[in-house]
Amino acid sequence: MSATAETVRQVEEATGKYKYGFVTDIEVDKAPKGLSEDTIRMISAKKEEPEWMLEWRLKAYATWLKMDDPDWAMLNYPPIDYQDIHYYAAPKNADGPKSLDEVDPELLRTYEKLGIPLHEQEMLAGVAVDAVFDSVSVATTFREKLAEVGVIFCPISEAIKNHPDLVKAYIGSVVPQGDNYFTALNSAVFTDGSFVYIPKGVRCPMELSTYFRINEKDTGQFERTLIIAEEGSYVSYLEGCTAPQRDENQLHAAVVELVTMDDAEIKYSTVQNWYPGDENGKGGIYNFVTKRGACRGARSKISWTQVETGSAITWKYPSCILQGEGSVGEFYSVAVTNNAQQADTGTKMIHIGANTKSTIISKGISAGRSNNTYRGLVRMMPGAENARNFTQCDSLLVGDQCGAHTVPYITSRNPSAKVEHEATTSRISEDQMFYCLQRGMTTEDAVSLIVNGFCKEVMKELPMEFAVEAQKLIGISLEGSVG
Amino acid sequence: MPLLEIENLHASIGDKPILKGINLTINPSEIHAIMGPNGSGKSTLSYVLAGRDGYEVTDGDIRLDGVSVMEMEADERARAGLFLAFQYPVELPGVGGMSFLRGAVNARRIEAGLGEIDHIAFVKTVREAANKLGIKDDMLKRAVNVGFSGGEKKRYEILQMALLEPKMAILDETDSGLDVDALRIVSEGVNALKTDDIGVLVITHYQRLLDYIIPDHVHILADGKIVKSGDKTLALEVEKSGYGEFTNAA
Amino acid sequence: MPHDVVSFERLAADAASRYADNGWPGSKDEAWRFTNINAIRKTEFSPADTAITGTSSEINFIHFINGVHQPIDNMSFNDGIICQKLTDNAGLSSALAAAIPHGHHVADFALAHASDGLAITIDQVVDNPLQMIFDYSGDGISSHPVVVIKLLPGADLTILEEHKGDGAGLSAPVMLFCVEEGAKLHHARRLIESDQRYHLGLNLVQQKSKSVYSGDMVMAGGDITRSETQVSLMEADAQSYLNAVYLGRDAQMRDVTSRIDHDAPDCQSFQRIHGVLDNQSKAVFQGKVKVERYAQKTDGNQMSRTLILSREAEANTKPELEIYADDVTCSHGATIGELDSDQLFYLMSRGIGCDEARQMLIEAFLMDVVDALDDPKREWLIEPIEHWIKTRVS
Repeated sequence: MSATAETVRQVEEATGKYKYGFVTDIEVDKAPKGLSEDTIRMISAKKEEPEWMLEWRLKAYATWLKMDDPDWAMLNYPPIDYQDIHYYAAPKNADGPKSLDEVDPELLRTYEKLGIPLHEQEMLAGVAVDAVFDSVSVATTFREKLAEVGVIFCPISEAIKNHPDLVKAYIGSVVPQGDNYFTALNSAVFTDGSFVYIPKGVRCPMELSTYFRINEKDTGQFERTLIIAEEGSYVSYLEGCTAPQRDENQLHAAVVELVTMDDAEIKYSTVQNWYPGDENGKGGIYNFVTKRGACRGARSKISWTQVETGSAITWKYPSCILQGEGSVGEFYSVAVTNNAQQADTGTKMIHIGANTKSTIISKGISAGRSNNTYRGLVRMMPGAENARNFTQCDSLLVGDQCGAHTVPYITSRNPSAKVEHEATTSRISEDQMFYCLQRGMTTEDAVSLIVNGFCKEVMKELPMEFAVEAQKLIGISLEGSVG
Repeated sequence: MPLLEIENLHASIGDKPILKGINLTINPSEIHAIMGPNGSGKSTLSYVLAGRDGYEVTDGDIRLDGVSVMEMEADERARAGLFLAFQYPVELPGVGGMSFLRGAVNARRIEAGLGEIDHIAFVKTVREAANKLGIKDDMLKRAVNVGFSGGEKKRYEILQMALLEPKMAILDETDSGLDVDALRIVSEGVNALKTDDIGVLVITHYQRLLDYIIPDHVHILADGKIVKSGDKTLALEVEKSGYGEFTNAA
Repeated sequence: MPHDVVSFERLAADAASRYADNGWPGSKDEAWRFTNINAIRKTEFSPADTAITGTSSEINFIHFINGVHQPIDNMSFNDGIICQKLTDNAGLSSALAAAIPHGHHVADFALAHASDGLAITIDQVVDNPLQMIFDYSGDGISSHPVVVIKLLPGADLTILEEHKGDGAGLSAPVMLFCVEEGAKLHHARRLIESDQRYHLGLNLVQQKSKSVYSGDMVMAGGDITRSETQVSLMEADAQSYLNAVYLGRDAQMRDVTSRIDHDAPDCQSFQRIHGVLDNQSKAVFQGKVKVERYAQKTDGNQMSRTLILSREAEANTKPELEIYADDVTCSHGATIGELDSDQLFYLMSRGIGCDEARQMLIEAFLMDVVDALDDPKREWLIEPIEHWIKTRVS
């Protein structure tokens, strides 16, 4: 490639690759920068929360003040100034629209540009969507239809007001406030997120999904999701995230809690495409997320599937606590890092009950100057009679300036439990590349094809609607990684 | 006296009943064949006879030489003269073939009050027996079944049978994975062992093994029960018309 | 790589000041996450300082008692083995000073308290093995033998090493093996100290181009026993093999820690670790393989398998890969579980009793690691394994 063409390409990449990098110009209601008890009182007041919720937040804040930033992950980033962040930003007149007609048309256009036309989804796709824009939920579709079968799907801020008993019973029960630095922070300042309740014996009639969008400058997004699946119920939940392209880093610290009772199943899928920063590592989202599910009931199942392509920093370990006898935990993950991105992601499988079973399939792809770490923990407790774990984690290196790391922790305290772990690291072979090129593919198509093949075991776990999008995303994320 | 008597045998895996009342009597020097479609309970029967953990016998009895084996562990049944040639012989990495064979032979001898076998004489016996089955010396030196081909594993099973001199031999799908030549060698091995008093139970899906090891009686197993018994012509009948009529009947 | 000249006295003094600052590793120290050394931390050990005389005059035989080596004059060696006091070999004491990992509490403790050590240079192929016997005794005594062995280009040596003895004491040996271009070091170590002893050993291996290090270890003794091996593959085409068997019973703690740094292209490392845990014993295998950016064509392979024989035992494994080069083949595998029920049934179906069948499978599992070795290494290592199995109460 000529020098000129190379320059042109680079400029194009730097400016046009992240297609969700636009900003929505909308009037917002914002808290001043900084974190204090007053900030928390202000958030709680904005949300018109009951007193107990405020107390709960203040308790978390007190815990957070006593904690330190975790430093064990293979991540490098400058200290975060927690006083330089807006903890609340909401589009004006966005407090709980009842139907899409009431939503600000500018917001609807935003979601359309993101590929999530809310109207269309409501009409055609049969997917119920909760759209969270900065600190608030701006729209939740299909609520009436879901209500007919008793499914509650609403912003968590609304659930706190309308279903306080359910929220009180479960919030913080899977991820305690003081679990880690970011959960304490989230518990103090969370602004919105989704709440899902599937009653006994109900198979949720459609996919539920939430789209998170960070729009405002210098804001943090602290959402909180709580999903409860009662005995014998089933739900499939999808989550997507994007943010504008900005030079400053923005913080996203979410908490997701899942609970399954006897024979219940939650399938939780994520396509994480937060702005990853430019090719020099400028800007991008710092993504510190705690996701955990408790399989409380016998034979219950929680399955996490994630495709992680975005964020400057990813720190995320969706986990399962397998308490119920015969319960099943699954973790399927694809993490792609390019340019200066850093990801430290994996899972924990805690086997408490007898005959519990877990499967971990992790595919890490590193390109550019990025670093990609799988960090996992499998623990067989003394009561985990005949429990089984199988872990396969494979890393693929694209180029010779990146890093791929594997850090599994395995503990067994029950002889009848069986743990198997396998890990490999390799690169795309020259033979594979040549074969594709010889068949007329471009380098980028070939990389995308081979990488998608490498990830196939995980991609097939995604719901159809997401799989195609995720596949394209992986290709886009790796653009420019092979030259 | 009958050699092996299976009486009203019921067995389950977990809560699922697999064998639902099997009755079968094998006298010394008889060859019986049990045929049946996949899932009829053939392998379960062989494991239950050999005393494998994980199968619950819910009713019935199994007697070897008139003595019930129900309270006996797998090794006790083996020493009492019951031999199972596995459908899928298990690999034992690190366990040397010779010490394995010697261990098995000695366990029996010690119980019979014969004392351990002479080392050099034993090596010679094993070599000769192996030779007849086309097993190379090199294979005897390796860890048990590790790196053996499918055919080699089956020959090795028959070698063990020759050395352990059982009263009652159960051959579980011994023909699976064998080509015609291997099938012939293995069958010759089995036929060579057939003395006046040994009983043989051949468990198989296909008739072709029965061209080589000719059964006195053939039984059809379907859904955990013997649904039809006859002579060797029954096997040919099945070969022609399949198991359809039996599965429907069961 | 030339380093500053550091006398052994200076090395010990530096270590002492680091130890004074840092002390023992804390419970939050990642390298000690699974191994609780409170019992060691709480004990006031005093170093043995008695000079020893005599001992054996066998050829190629080195004897340490409570960390102190026998007089140099009493030792005799085959051609090719040059043995000096470390205080008399500034070259090797400097090499050791440069090799001590930064912030290594136990190395600092050991070197701070060591009175002297041995510097052994091998300059040709030596056919007869070198035996190194470390004897320990006495309650409350800490022993810190220090040995640096350098194989010059083309040299070849077999080392048979043993740590044994009793008394409620602590052994903290520090050893450095420099394997120069094309040299080969075959190293068999058995740790068979008695049940109330503590052992925290550090082994450093530095390999130049085309060198081969093969280290095989059986860890069978001691209450808390940790063996840490750090290998630097500093130049191209070096090969390293680390095999270990660890055996735990009662309330013992077993810790096999390894770190392999691939700092040069075209090197290979292979690790196989098999452990058996009985009663209330606990163990950890933590092994890290790090491949630097320029270490292309690295082949790094690691396999850890643990057998748990008792309901109260605990097995921990942390195999770690840190990789910055793309043209590599790196893998690790780990399994933890009990004896395979299919294998057990197969043996029993041949008439072998349950207990005997279990013993056979345990033995096979352990022998798997050492069986392919040549004598005298094989014999050296099989003995403690067989002893352990024989004395196992099933």
